[in-house]
Amino acid sequence: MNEQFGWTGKILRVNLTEGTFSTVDTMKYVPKYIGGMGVAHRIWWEEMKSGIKAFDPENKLIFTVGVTGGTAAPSSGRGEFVSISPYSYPEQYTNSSIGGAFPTQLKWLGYDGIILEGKAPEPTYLLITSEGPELRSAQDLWGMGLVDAQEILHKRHGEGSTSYGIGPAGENLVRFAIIGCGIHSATGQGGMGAVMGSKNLKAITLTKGKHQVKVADPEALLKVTEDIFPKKINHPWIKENLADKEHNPFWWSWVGPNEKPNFSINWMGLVYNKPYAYLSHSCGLGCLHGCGFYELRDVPATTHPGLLHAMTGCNHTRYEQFFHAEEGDKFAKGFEIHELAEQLGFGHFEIVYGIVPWLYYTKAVGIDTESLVGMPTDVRSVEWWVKLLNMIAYRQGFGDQLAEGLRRTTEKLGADVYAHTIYEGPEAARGAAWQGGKMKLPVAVLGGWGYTARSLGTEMPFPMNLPSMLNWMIDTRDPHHNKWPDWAHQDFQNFVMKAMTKQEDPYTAEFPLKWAKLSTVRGTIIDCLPECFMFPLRNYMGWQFDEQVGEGTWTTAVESRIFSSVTGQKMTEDELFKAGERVNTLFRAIQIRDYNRTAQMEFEEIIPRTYGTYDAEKFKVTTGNFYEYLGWDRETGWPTREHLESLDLKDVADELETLGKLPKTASVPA
Amino acid sequence: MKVKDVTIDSRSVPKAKGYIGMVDPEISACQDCKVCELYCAMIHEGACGAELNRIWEISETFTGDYYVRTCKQCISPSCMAACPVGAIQVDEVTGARFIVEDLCTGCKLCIKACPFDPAPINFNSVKKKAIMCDLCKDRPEGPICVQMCPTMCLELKKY
Ligand code: SF4
Ligand code: SF4
Ligand code: SF4
Repeated sequence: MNEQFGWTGKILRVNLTEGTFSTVDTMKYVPKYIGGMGVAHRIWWEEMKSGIKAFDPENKLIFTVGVTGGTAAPSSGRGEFVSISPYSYPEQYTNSSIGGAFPTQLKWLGYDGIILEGKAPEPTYLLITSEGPELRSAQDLWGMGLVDAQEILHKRHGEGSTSYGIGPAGENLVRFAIIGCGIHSATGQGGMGAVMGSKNLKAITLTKGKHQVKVADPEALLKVTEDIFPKKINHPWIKENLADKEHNPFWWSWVGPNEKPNFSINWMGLVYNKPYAYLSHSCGLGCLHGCGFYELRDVPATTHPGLLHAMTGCNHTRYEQFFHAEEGDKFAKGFEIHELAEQLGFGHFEIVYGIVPWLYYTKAVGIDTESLVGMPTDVRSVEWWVKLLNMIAYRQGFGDQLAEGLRRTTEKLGADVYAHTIYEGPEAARGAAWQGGKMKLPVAVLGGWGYTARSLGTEMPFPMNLPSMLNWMIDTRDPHHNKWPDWAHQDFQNFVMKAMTKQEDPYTAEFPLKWAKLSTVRGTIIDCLPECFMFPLRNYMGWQFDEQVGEGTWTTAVESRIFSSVTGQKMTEDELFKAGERVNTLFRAIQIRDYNRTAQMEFEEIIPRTYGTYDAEKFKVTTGNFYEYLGWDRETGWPTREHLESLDLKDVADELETLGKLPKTASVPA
Repeated sequence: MKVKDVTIDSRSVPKAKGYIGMVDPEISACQDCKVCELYCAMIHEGACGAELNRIWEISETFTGDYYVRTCKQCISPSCMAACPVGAIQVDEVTGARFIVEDLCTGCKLCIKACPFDPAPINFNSVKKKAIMCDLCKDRPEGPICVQMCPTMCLELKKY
């Protein structure tokens, strides 16, 4: 190749123990593994082995930006962290994406990614400038809030500098700690912040670079961007309520095209922010629309003096919802704890869907968790929240246990009582006003693999949740943030309808298999390019188009056009889909080699979380069908040699065979 | 392109048709996506990078202020007067003040002469050329930053 488009061609390797730097050639891995997460998976396959724990210095934390990063490609400003996740239960390799200006700027510094290895001898931050990388002492930043530390770094390194970093939760190895980009974006999944903390790394700061990321066919990229450009809407500072459909520009994204009170409004609707104005903010560079995250400033704190500047939106509005029925400045109350959680560096889901509801539900059913925590549970008290969040971030008292996450906590206390007891009554955040106060949930609302989740066998009934159950089964995290099965799609509704009217047995139907495979591969491609999860879900999320460019659910044509226009390498839709399948299968191989993943293990993980709504025997057949549908063996769940070789992964098949982890008899993919 | 009279009187050049600015934030505000910067760079340079944009979206992420800066297409452009080789010229159709790449020697005198600090002139250190907003004079559709801004918070402001 005379000219290199898209990729910068090198990945920075940082040995934190030794304080040394080197580079890895990206071009060894592309276009075969697309870019971004696909490259990270391949590096992981080559460099890692089983037996390493999340907080061991031998664990690596790899950040990658995909091929479109650093260009004008739509929503290209995201990147992906991969590591052994301390949050996953048991610890497993996983991935989590993040936005901000960082991914774009890393490309402009000439790197497609950063491999972080070892452990710094003392609190450190990594600074990368156009002069190169260096490690600096972070003694003065250690212990500081995530956002505050980044503000100091921004002042220190000047206009145009940007950072990723951790808060006290990451430093104290809270298993669901995030890596955050100021107030604007974070790795919500995986507990990547705790891995960073275990490496004594407080932050990574980038200044402006001089590298130029070339685009092979700018006109073609412009054309595909215009084709997918949603109808533009004005984004003024909005002084009305978020819950007001006339004024919230994302109302239609939230409630769906028919304005049914669906899950979205359930998560996001009831927030009365007045009198504080809000502004829609993109999560990363290249965003064409926004998805309903809002920035607010000058909101007064209610327990400490000072004004807050923070974000809320999507299902993170849960913090504010806990107070929406309260008297007085109710928004400021929720916003304060939200901001505190950002500073401490928590993954919000575990707090607002997991731990706090768990304390509320256990109390309601008479399981004593109050004496464990050492204070009466009061989810409508800001003071209670502040105490609780600090207890967890600093691992004080029972906070030390809660810092392990709800799954590990309930396993330790006894899951039968502390996780599986069924609670009936008002939902924790919204109280009795929501759906007539009728909720039926396990006290610990857990999805698979240790992740707090709303929709696994709880909020969504069978058979609606069947495709997503399959997504969960083969993942190591909550798949619903990047691999959503488009629930609002007509085909999906047809499947549910056929099952309800007994025209089709959902357990043996092809649809859930197809739907789960498609969303998994599509989600994988998103994290390799990168692009926004909204693209394939453009109808689901209520984006309006002048002209429809393919609904996005069944097609990844837009993605292949973006890839081709950036790189100049022709990649058809089928080829890109196959590359996505290759990356996902490699991810599978890592789970099998390093974490002994088997079909049995997956079945045993998922079925208890269906709370009797599934026929276990029949579901077993569905899971076998799904493995086969993916080209994997129906008994073990391991990819077959034929399938691995068809994806040009012969060396992976050979290594798995040596380990005795190739299925004995090849089963033919359906 | 011919070298123009380097003693050109920058006070007598025709006005540009306008300059790129922001609309009233009561109508629409910036969402901090830098789509304007990225497209500006890509359309002119076939590449993106911190030295290739001719418009800057300033992200004051810790105070929540987002605004753009670019060339004001001055009525009496001091950059043009300062250029010793006449590389800054005026487009006949749009009146845009623009830098003729082949003529620019990379002396940065325009950057020093611009009354704005920092000057809205970028410097491509690979090519050793100054670059500034040319109102996308070569695009029949007009300024790409205005066309692509997702929130419609950019416009061509008239004098
Ligand atoms: S494109 Fe518009 S919204 Fe995006 S950064 Fe530029 S001015 Fe702001
Ligand atoms: S570069 Fe500066 S001096 Fe020249 S026209 Fe633009 S704003 Fe005026
Ligand atoms: S008008 Fe064109 S050259 Fe000027 S800032 Fe906008 S995109 Fe860049």
